[in-house]
Amino acid sequence: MPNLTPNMLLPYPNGLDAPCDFDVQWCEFTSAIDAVFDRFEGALARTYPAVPAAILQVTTPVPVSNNIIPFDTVAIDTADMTDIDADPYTITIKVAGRYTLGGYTGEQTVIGGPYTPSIIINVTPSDPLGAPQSTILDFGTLNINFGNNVHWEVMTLAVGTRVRLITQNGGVSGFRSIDEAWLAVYWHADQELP
Amino acid sequence: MTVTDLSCPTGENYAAIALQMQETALETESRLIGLEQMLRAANNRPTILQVSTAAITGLLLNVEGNIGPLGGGAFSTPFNNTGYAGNIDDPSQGLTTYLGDGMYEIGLYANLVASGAVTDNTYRMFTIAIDTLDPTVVGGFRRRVKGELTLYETNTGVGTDGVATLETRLTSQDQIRILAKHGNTGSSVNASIGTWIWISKVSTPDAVVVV
Repeated sequence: MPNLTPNMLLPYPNGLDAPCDFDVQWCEFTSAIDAVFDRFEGALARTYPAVPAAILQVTTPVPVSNNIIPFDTVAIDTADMTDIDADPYTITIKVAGRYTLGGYTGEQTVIGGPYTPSIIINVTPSDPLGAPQSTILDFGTLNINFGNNVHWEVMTLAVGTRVRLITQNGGVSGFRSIDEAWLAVYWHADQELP
Repeated sequence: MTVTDLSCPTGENYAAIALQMQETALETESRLIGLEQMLRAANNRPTILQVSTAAITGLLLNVEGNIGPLGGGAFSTPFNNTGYAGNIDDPSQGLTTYLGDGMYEIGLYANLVASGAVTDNTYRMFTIAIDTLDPTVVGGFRRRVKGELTLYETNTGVGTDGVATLETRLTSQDQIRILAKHGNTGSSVNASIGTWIWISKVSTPDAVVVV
């Protein structure tokens, strides 16, 4: 049975094969399909369903002034994207693709009137669409630990891209206590078109 | 998935060719269905979407109040591909046990409206919180992480709309809380009909294997 399909190499009979060899031909055919199935199932079993994802967290309050937030905890990292001892600020992309980015800060309010705290997800090298940012107005209500949330559903990131979270004061100088914070990155596609 | 090797004929009984072909076709289809299910599972993340069908009323000054189903609100479930039958924030149903350890995205949209007088420039807080078992207190929980947005009501007559998101790792010890809080001294605050909450499992915590 010399004929083979071009890609999967599945055998099939030609005009010179004798009908009495039918069982042999059939077995060769089904064995070849079995091998292809085994390969596909093995690949799926190894890849499903983990995706590149990482979360960095601040669990102990840290003073920050107009600067990058240093994290103290890795909540999850499925693709070796963090090294919190060497670089507590950064998630580094290791698999290219389209990503969702999210960030949050819980900060102590400022005594003495309105100001605008911002958080920015800093992407370096920067995406042409720009970095996601959230700015809110705080009226300085006492005893309120206010939260600021930023989210970017789709951003195409290359290998080596660094993702960080920055907090900025608007109109107020000095350090503020970042009581909680997190920065999350997760992959959800490897190409723009299906 | 149970894998069955495809069979082949054992004798030269040509009258059985049709039967053998049917058998091979059915076995092949079975294997293809299994592959398709795995692909669909990888492509369709477990996701639940719920929306309130009645206002949740009486949120008190400076007190965290549940604005999810746990607070007694009526919610419908427009989408659920998980097989989990309970509400997103119901600790008795064990959502995080059902869907398993992993990274999740949780979201909240709500419109908070004062039930009476509006106190200008007072805060409205939209919170997704994760409480987890506290080993230092018997039966106790402690707050582990949250996603939160704080806005200020300027008395426009339409209340305050807010969206909060939280990406976090969840385990079977975690409980999801959907909360709101306010500083409106003039009256209590209501969460309008149409509070949306959603959860989607992003990944297991396993390391990615590149094939």
